[in-house]
Amino acid sequence: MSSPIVLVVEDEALIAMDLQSLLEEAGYRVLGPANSTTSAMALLDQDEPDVALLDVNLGRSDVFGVANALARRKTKVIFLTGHSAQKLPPDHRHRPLLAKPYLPHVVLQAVAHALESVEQGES
Amino acid sequence: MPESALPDAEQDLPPSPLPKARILIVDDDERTAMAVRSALEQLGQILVVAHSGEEALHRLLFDDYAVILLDVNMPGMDGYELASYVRARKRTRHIPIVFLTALFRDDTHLLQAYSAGAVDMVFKPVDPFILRSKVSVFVDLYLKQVEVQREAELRNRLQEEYFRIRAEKASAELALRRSEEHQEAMARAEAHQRTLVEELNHRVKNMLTVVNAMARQTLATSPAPEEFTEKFLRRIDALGRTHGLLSREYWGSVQLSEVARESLEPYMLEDRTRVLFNGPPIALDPKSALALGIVFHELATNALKHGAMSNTEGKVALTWALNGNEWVKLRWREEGGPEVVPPKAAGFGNRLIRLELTHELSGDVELLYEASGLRVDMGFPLIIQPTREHLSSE
Repeated sequence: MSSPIVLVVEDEALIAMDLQSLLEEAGYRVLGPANSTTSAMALLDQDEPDVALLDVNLGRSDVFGVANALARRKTKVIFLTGHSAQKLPPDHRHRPLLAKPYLPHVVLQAVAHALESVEQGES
Repeated sequence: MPESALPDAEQDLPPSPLPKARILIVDDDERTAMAVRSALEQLGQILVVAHSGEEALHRLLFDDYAVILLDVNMPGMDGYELASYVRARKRTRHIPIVFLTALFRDDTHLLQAYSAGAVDMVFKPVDPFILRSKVSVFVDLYLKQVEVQREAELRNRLQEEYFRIRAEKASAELALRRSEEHQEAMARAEAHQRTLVEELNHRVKNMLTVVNAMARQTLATSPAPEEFTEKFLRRIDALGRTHGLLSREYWGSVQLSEVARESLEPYMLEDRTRVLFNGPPIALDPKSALALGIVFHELATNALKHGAMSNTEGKVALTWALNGNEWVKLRWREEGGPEVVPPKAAGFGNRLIRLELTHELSGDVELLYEASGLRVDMGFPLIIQPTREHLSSE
């Protein structure tokens, strides 16, 4: 079985680089990292990720446009945020929200958990 | 003024007593004075008798009169003289004077009397009916004037009252509006403060995440613990320097030259001409400044270890220019260093430089290992500040 694909959307270069290394070392294939909504949407045209790791605040735009597109494809979404009082929109409130700064194993657990639910056919 | 304001206010005023007119009778002869008095009593007004011109003047000082009945011929101040005083004084000038005279009814006297200010003449012995008729005309006239004056005063008072109430209402409304504005301003200030604190929290958390990532990535590419510590602390120091610069500018914009100076400062050699930077003023947003700070640090570290700053005569020149006010072009050029050997695989520093330029700044970068030295050409779009609220108070 080929490696699961994880889309990473994070505008901070060092954090994007860190997430990429973390996921690749754990055996995943990383799509991206994308630094904007536009580049993330372009990547989605090329490839079909199994899971997406999305930073909520992309500097000048928020990531929910991408999240909505992923939800329509039934792709699992995990959000990352640096805001203490981050509120997800009602459509996404049931999806996992990880706090920054994150611990590597927490990110990997969240990705693994999302993939399990994909295999079990949950939406 | 609205029509409705008057009747409403009028009802609130106390009913005024019916005014009475004062009639001044001036005659030194007691019998004549009594006769005049009894003739006028049934008019129901206030009758005041003075027995001399002096007494009459005294009376006139204190009260207003509807009419003066004045005996022409009196010892001391006679009627004509008193009349001239009455006419001369502003307060009494308007009071009609009716002369009482027993003198011959010739034209000379008549003329003198009228020129002294008389409005009428009554001849002694007085006919009560004629006297009463004449005086009642003046009384009516006087009472009419009083009535008109009272109405005018009432109207003025009502008008003043109306304006006073209107002014009070306006000032109350103004006070209310000011208090509302004050509360709104307070609410805005509080909301602004909450936004700033939330923004600051976000920035701190982001910075911690960056530091964590920096630690993990530096550790993964450091063969020995001592090397990790050295590299990691230098990178954190570089981040801290740009941070300090941005904090001093309240997270507004900072000059590219300032970012270069701050980042390259730890690498400045004794001979300051070995690291030069030059370019036009360019204001950078905080995100771009932080990214460039990291890039300059990585370039300088590399130059110190492998490039132009690792020997005694190599030089580094950092130059930049602005293309069409929207694209920043930078060139890092090393010269006079040891022989240039392109790395076999891109190290962490190399990857970081590329990522900062392409990912963080949405720009591009080219690393050229030329024989004369490393050349790095970079470009990124200029973000016009301020697009985000920064951490200054206003």
